[in-house]
Amino acid sequence: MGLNKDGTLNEDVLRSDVGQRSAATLQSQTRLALQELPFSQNWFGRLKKRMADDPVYADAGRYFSAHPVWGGQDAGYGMHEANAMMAHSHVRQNIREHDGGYHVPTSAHWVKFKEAYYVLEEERRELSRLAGDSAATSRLQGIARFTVTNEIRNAYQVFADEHKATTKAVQFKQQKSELLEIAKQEQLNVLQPMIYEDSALGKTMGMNHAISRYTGGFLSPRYAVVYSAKSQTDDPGLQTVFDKPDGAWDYVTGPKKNLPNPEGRMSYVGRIADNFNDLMANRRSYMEGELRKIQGWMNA
Amino acid sequence: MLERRAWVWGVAFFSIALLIGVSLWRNDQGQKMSEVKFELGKSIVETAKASGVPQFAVQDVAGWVSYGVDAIPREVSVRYVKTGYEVVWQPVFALSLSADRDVHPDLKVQKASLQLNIDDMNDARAQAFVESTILQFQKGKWQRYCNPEEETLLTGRSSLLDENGEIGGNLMAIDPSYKISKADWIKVVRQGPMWRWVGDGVLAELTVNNSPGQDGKPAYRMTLEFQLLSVKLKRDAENLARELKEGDAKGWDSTARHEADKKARFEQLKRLEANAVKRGDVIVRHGR
Repeated sequence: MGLNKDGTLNEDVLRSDVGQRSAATLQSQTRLALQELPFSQNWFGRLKKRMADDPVYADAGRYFSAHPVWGGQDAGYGMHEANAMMAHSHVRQNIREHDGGYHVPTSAHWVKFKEAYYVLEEERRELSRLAGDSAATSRLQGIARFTVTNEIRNAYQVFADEHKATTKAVQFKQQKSELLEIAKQEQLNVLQPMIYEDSALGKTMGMNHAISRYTGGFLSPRYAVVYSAKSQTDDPGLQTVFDKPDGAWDYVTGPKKNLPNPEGRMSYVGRIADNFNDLMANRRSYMEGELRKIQGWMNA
Repeated sequence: MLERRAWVWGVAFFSIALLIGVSLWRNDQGQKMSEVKFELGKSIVETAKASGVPQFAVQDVAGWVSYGVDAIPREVSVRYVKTGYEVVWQPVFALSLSADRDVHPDLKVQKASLQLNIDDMNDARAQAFVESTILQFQKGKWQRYCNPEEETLLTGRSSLLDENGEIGGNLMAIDPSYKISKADWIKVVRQGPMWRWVGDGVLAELTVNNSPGQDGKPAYRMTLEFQLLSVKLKRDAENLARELKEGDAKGWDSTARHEADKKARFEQLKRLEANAVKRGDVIVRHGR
């Protein structure tokens, strides 16, 4: 694993191991685990069957089988609401028992959903759409057939150098390099083939960006990184915005970059990395506090 | 009808002319800008105004205020204007100025970062560019810098070598007068070398990195940073003290380990100096 028994780094093992990281040479159990990961082809196959046989959805839906009488003072609305309440309650009470690990978010959180049946319907619609997107599934399979990249080799090298560093200044320098290498791996070798090379998505993102840029984020949200755990903020001071106009002429002449384009995106990622490093050096307590809040989102 | 159309076109033309006049990287006299200027130690608002940049993106994260601009036109150079210490960089992709409300409530600029616009960079061009930057520092009143607890200033190739005589080590105190060979350059830039100077209380750091990605092409990144040295040293000391305190509280014995590392580093520096002298290189006294 690259570590000696006393916990020190075994650089030789680390360096030789990285070259052997390939999906083709994975141990059989690991390969099997990879094939069965969420959103894999096998997982979607099981998901379709599970949705077809889901007793919670079927039973909750039966509360709507008694159709409201569309008349009277409330035009049947009261009965419809009563049916819905029963359906929501049924979902909240039974969803954990029939979870199967397919719910997003996990079923433990569903007791907080007042309109749980409607959430379940929406979840099924979205998951069915994902299951039917064969192009996306095949791109994911392509990513799963990974071989080691130069970015990962570089990251291992930097990690070993960081471990050997004899001063804090060098450690900090290596941490910055490591952050950039991992960002390159994620952006260029994973996200680029997986999502950004989808031409329809590229066009949609370009259009969203143009609308957002022309309307100052009014009609479509800006692509931005927010240095805060707040779920929503309009405070521009907390954001690094992608391709923000630097003046009126830049504004009227329209977008200069598109997020799916790797070059434009990487210069933006570089700026974010620099900002992040500055903030970690100068506002560490604040940043750690915000990251802890984000960590706690799932339990909120 | 014709009059109305002419009026619409007139307004449109006037608006575009106005926009071009006020925002196409032009100065107050309407002349096309060729240079952005900045320095440290003055109000960030005034520095931004005087810089010539049409519009900065302003951030304020818990009192860490930064003014940033990217996609600076290639024909516009960026100049650090302190008399006797001028440095010009071009083409620059991004410039950011930062101030810390906790340190200077009047928001003095304490740090400026420049990111070079790297287009079609190869090893030869990168080395030539770095050498031209170094030359500017040598022409000014700048002096080589190192933190004496962490580095020693050696001359010649010794400033690139670790204890085993290999390219490596920290590469944070490279002799700017030493002309690096092509073969060494390729190894050096893979390890993120840094050239550092100090002048008039400002620390300047030139960092170069080349880490080719999956396509195998050179992937250079060059940054030039200026920061108020006293503020940086105080902040580093505070960060270290907090890190050691947290480590000790978790039972990691961080303070004791840190002291041991310092002692080991001191001994290592003595060995690096002895090796340098054997090679015929020189130990430069700190502050020179």
